[in-house]
Amino acid sequence: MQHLSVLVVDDENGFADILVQRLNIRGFMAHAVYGGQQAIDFVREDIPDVILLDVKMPLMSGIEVLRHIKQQYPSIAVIMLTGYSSLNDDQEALRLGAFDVLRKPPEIDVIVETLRLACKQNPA
Amino acid sequence: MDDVFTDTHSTFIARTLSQFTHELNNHMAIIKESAGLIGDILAISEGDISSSQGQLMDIVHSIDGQVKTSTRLIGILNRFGHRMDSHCCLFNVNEALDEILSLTARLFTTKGVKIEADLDPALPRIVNASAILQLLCFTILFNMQQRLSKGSLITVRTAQLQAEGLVCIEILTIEKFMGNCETKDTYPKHVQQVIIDRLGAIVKYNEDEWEAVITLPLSRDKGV
Repeated sequence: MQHLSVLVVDDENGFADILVQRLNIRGFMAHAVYGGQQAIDFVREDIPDVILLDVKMPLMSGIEVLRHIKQQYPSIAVIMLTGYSSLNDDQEALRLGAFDVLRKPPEIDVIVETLRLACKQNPA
Repeated sequence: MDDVFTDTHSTFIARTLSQFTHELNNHMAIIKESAGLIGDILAISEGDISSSQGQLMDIVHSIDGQVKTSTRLIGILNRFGHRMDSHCCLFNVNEALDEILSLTARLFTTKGVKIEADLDPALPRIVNASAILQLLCFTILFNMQQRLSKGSLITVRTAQLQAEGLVCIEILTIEKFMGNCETKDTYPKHVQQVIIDRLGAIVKYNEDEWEAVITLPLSRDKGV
């Protein structure tokens, strides 16, 4: 469990970069990308254990990315990150197979615990 | 017609607030994670921070930048709220436009539409209802972006028609529209007309509505 690979997808570069550093300090192998299409391109080359995915992003929303990922790579666990998304977004994300939906900014301990649970329940 | 106006204005304020709070929450999230990262670095350095000093200073500067941006946004929201204190007053059209573009930027960027402002710095101040002008501009921008594909650009320009003593706001796009002018998600023309009447303005659309020109008198009492 110490070297789970995590892809952080968020159009807020600052948030994604810092989260990656905090996860790496905790023994994860985390990487950040800043858009939906970048996430899809990244996964095509290097399949992560878990994706932390922002819901509201320009050009391609987190929901669109989730739909694509779950169709093409159902074994990847996806945890959604959201600011103040509507209840519809939360329900749609869970319906499409997201492991959980976390409110931004989540506590780092909550993220770590959710990442571990997601990998346990969804082993690649 | 009062109900139509009140409903439209309430929806506009709700949309503006939801975009603003989302944006502000993002800045708060970065500040929170930055503070957390400082804690992480201090915890692993076990008292010797000499090797991490540069990184720590970078994080502190980043927090400072996020706080400055957040404070600027809060100031804009505060001014937006105070515009409703008085129905009619002397105001700078460019500032009113800049404010509403800043507060709603996320709504447009999330849909992949960029808005560019080209505001005439010599524009005279006018006497009118600035909050209602912001509402009118928003309905035009919103309707345009509903029909644009991702990656499109809308330009907002201001200019003075000196001879006539009028101020013009031009909202235009050179992109190709998709779909009809009015859909269930756009602001209908009769609703826009209620807003236009309250301003004593004239709005002219060109064919297919890829350009809207709002003409305002220097004083609401004078009419266009």
